[in-house]
Amino acid sequence: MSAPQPIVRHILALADTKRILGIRYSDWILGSPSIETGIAASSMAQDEWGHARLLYAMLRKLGADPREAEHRRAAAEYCSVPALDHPFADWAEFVAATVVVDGALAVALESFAAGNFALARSRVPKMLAEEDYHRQFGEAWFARLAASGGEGRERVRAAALAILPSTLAWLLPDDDPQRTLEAEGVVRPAARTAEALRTRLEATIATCGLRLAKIEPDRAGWDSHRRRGPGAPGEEAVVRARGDRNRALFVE
Amino acid sequence: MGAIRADSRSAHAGEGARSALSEGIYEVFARKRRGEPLRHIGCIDAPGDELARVYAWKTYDEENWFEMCVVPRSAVIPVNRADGIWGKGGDGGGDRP
Repeated sequence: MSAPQPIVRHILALADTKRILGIRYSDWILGSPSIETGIAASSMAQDEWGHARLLYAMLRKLGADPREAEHRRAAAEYCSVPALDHPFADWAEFVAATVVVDGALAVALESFAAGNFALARSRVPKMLAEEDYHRQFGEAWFARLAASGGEGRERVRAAALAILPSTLAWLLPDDDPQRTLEAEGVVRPAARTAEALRTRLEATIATCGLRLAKIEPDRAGWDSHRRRGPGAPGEEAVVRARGDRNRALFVE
Repeated sequence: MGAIRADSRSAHAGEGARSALSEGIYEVFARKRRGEPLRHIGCIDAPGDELARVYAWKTYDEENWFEMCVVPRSAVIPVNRADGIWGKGGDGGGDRP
């Protein structure tokens, strides 16, 4: 596999993460703690899929075929955060991902919208407005579980701690493609992105005793083509992400 | 509802999470255009003000609302009818999601 252009890798990392996150959210439309929570999960899943569609469509401007990216890639080509490789095992994992993964995505999108790629400047701000409700949802649930003490607090703490290192590595790649994007003004410098994440997450994760400064990005086995470490989203998710079962009905 | 669902997958988050799921009823009001009166469009269950805002917006987002707000049902004080929909034991008159 040849190395993708840095901006193509960036868009795929954002779009793939949103698409798989939408699937993971959708798993909890039924079975979440209340009907209202399930409706919110449904709405958030739809937001993520809509955003993913808009991000994939940006590839056309770069001479790539969005349909290839959306419907024909193998799981091993996905650039999504490792935190989403497996379904959430419990509600605490859902909540931790809403704060950590959705939070990292929002920070990455803010950086993209502030850069010089015209499509990001015009399309991403609306995504960020919708994402604000994801933030409120995640922060409120995280705080409630943290405040509840006992097993709820321990589970959301463990879930956040488990996904932070690989998500930090995904958000802050320490490699040449990322440095190219920064040098060209497509995204903000890494230090500024890291500060934005700290501002966004610090108070929330502190409710269960976590500090971002104590957590190092996990770059073991870094795959520069996919902007992430080893592994891939489960086939069950990628089949849904590609729409394999609906291929006969595919209309574009 | 929260207590019932806490017995399903959410129960894995533990006993503490179950107590965190105790919910209150919020009435939802909205208007489509500036200058229109707010109207009561329904109600939701939520464990606090922050989630009430999110749940209301996500539950009633089929319209392009200009403004929406939520009010804890417990804050509504009936004026002339203690047996009305806002009175003790009333259902608030709103559609639940």
